[in-house]
Amino acid sequence: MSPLGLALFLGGVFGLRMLGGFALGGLLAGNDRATRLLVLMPLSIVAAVIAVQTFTVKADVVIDARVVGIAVAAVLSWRKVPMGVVVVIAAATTALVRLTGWG
Amino acid sequence: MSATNDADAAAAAGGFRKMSWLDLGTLLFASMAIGVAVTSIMEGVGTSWWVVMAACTFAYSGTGEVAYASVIASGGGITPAIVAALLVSSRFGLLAMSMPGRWKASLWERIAIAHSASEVAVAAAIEAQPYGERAARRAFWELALCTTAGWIIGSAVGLALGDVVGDTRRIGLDVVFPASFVGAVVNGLRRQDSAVAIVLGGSAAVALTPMLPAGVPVLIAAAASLLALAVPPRLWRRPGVTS
Repeated sequence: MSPLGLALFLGGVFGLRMLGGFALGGLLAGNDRATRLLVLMPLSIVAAVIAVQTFTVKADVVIDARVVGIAVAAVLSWRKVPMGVVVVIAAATTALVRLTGWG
Repeated sequence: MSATNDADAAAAAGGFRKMSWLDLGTLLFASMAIGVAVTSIMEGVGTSWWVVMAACTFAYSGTGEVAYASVIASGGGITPAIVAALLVSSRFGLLAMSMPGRWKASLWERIAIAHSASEVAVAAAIEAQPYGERAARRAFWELALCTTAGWIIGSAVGLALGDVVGDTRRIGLDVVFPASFVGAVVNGLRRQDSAVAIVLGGSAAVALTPMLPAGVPVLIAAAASLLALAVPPRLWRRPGVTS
């Protein structure tokens, strides 16, 4: 990464965050529908990131051991198991499934 | 329970997952491991150490770094690599946008919140929100601080150690990150409008991944929340459960 490229990357991501946190966030504050949207939108994003990291590799849809690990994490989280335990069991499950030779 | 309390009741069902030191320690360790892994990918495409440290601290986007590295590794130029990194990181602008107003914060705290609004911290704040502003603020900062610390320490350790990790998929490291914020999603499924936002967002992102550049499907998935606005913010009716 050239210094200019690095500056673009750092400045770009930082700028996007500040734009979201100040300009856009302030724009929507105080409106009922907007307030609901700001509750729903992060859930859509978080669900999308989980889905992409669970079901895709680069530009392909791939079903492998990750699906089992995340399914276990979902059930444990639903049962309110502490986050640290969820993370460790999800990784261990995925690793075990891979030991069997699949995914 | 009244309709206005449905959201609170949904999140409260089954109790509050308060973070213990063990949870935070595990998350710190997991972030370190991811930091080491991402750094070895960055070094693999010839990125110098100070760029790695600047990127992990100020851009604070592991997926952005991986996107950059994968374009370089596949023979692409610096410019498309940076565009890819920015696209993949664009969701952080929207996550930062969802944070103001959750609790009263000074200017400096708002800057810090916008900078550290990662999925896991925002998800923890959402999960804790029904228990009040203090709980949300505490959950956000606990997760933000320990994952940031782990991530920066991990990146530095990765630079010091070089490529010692090998295939991190063998230990299931690739599910650690999504598993840490799946809690907010399963909680959201208890309510009709957030369940629609989650299912639409998740399926749109996967369906669009083969045809759009990385990062764009997640932005389109964010727009799914607009459709979910049309759904009432109620709990699902279950037989035998009176509300």
